[in-house]
Amino acid sequence: MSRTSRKSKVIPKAQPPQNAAIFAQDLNFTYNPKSPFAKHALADINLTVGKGEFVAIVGHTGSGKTTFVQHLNALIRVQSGNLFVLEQDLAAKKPDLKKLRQNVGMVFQYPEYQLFADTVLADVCFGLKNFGIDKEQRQTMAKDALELVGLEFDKIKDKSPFDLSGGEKRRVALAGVLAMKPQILVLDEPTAGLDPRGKSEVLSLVKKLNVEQGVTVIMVSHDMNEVYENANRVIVFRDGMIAYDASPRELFRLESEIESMNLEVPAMAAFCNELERNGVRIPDKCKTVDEVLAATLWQREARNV
Amino acid sequence: MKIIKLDNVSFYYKAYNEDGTVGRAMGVEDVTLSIEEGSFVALVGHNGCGKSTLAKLLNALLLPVTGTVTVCGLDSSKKENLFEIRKNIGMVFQNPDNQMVASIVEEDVAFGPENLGVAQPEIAERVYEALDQVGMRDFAKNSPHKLSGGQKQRIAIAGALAIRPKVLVLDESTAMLDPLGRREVLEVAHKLNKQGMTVILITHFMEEVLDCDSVVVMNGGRVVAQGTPNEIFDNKQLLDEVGLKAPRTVELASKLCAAGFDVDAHCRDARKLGGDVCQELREKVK
Repeated sequence: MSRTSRKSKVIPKAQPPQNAAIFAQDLNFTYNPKSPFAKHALADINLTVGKGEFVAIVGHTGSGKTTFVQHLNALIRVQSGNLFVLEQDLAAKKPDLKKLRQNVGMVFQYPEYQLFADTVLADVCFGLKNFGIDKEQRQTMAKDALELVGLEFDKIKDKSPFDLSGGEKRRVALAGVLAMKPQILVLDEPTAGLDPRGKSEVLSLVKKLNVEQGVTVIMVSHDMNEVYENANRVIVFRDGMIAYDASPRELFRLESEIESMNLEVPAMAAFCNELERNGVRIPDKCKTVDEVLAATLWQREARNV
Repeated sequence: MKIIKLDNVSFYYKAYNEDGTVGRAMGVEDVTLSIEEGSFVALVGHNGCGKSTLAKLLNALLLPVTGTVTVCGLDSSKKENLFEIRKNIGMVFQNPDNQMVASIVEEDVAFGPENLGVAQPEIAERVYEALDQVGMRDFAKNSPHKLSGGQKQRIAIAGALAIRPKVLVLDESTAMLDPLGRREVLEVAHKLNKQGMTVILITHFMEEVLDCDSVVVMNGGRVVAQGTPNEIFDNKQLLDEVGLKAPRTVELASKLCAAGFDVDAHCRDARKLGGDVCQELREKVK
C-alpha cells in the first residue's frame, strides 16, 4: 500500500518544449549542504529560454545569478530538480559534458585574467586543441574567431596577449570561446572594467552573434542601460529566486520595485516612463537615445498639425 | 592652494622591442596639471591612456623620468620626501579582494598606521574613526571576505583614511561593484570631500563624472582637456576623439535642445527632462 501511494506522488520528469535552449524545472542548489555554512543559493527555478533569445540576468550581488549560469555548462552539477540544455539532460548521471561544453560557451568575469599562452594564436587555439580538433583546422577556426571579434589575424596572432590593451585582451579571450562556435553564449558581466568604446564594441559583437547567427545569449550584467538596450528579455534574481521575468520595457516601468531591489532604472526608461505618466506614448521598441529622440520629435510634429 | 602639481611629467615603462632589445613604452608624456586642495576631480580616458600611471606617480609608487611631481609642496624625486608624500595620498584600487591584508576588518584598517609606527592607543582611535567615516563600524570584528564588494571597498577606503591622508585617489574603485556597491562608495567619497578631503576619481562611468568639480581627460598618455563636466560633455569632438560618451540623459537633453526644445541642455535627471518635455508638448496642444 505504502509503495503504491508513494509512487503516485512522483512527479514525472517533464520533457523540454521544442526549440528550448534551456529548460529548468524546480532547480535548487545549496552550497555546503548539511553543514552550518549551508547556503541556499537557488530556490525552485523554473525557466524556459528559447533558441535565439537574448536574455539578461540581473540582480544584486549574492542573488544567485552566477550560481545559475554555472549550471548551464555543468560547472555546477544539478543537485535537485531538472535542467535541460540543448536537449541534454544535465540531471542525468553521466551527461555528455564534452559535447555540452562545446555548445555552451562560457565567458567569465574579467576573462582576460585567464589568458596564459605565449601568443594570441596559441591562446585562442587552446580550447580547440582540448576538443581534439586537428592543427590546420584549429588555425582556420582561430582566424575566423579573431576576425569575428574585430582583430586583424596576421597582425595579432604572434603577439603576446599581455602586450595588448584591456579591450583587445577581452576580445582575444572572447575569441577563445567563440572559436568553438557555441550555440549558447553565457557571459558574466562582459563589459565590466572596459571604457565606453570597449563596452560598445563588445556589446555590438554579442548582439551581432545573436541577430546574424542566432546564438542564444545569456548575459549577466549590472549595467541596466546596456541591459535595456540589448536584451529581449530580462530575468531578475532575488534571494535565489526569479523575482521578475519580463521584457525590458515592461520590467523598467516598475520603477519603485526596481529601486527597492537596489537596481537602477535605465535613463531612457525613466524618461519614457515620465512621458507615459503624462499621457505621451513612446513606442516600446525605442530604447536608445536616438530612437527616443526621434519618437519625441515625432510626438511634437503630431501636435503641431 | 594647489595640493598636487605636475610639471612636464613623463614616465616610460621598460618594454622589449621585437628584436629583443630593451626599449620603452609610454606611460604618460609631458603632463602638466595642478589640483586644488579640497576639490573633487574625475580622471577619465580609455583603457591604456595613462590614468593609472598618473595615479601611481601621485603617491610616488612611480617616479617621473622627466619633470617634477609636487605633493603638498614636497618634490617626489627627493627620497627623504617619499614617506611624507605617501602619508598624504591614500589610494584605493579596482579589485576589493586584492587589497585585503588581514583576516579581521579592524586589523586590515590598522595595517597602514601600524606600518607608520603609530602608537597602539592611537591606532585603535584611528581605526574606529576611519570605520565611522565609511559607515562600517559595526563590521569591525567581521571577516572581510564575507562582506559584499561595496563593503570591501569601503574597508579599503577606511584603510587609506587611517593614514590620515589629504588626498584620496580612487583608481576605478567602483568598476567591479554592483549598482548598490557603487552608490555606497561614491556617497562615502562625496562625504569625505565635503569634510575637506581632496578626491581624485578615476572612472569609466560617465554618470559618476557629473558630480565632480572638474574633469581631466587623458588620451595617449597626455592630458587633452580639463574643465567642468558640462564643458567636457558639450565638446562632442573631444569625446569622439578619446572614445568617451556623455551620459545618456545628458546626450538626450542636448539633442532635444538642439532640436528646439526649451529644456536644460545639461539636464542629468531623466525624469525631470521627461517632465519638461511633456510640459512643452502640452503647451503645443493649447
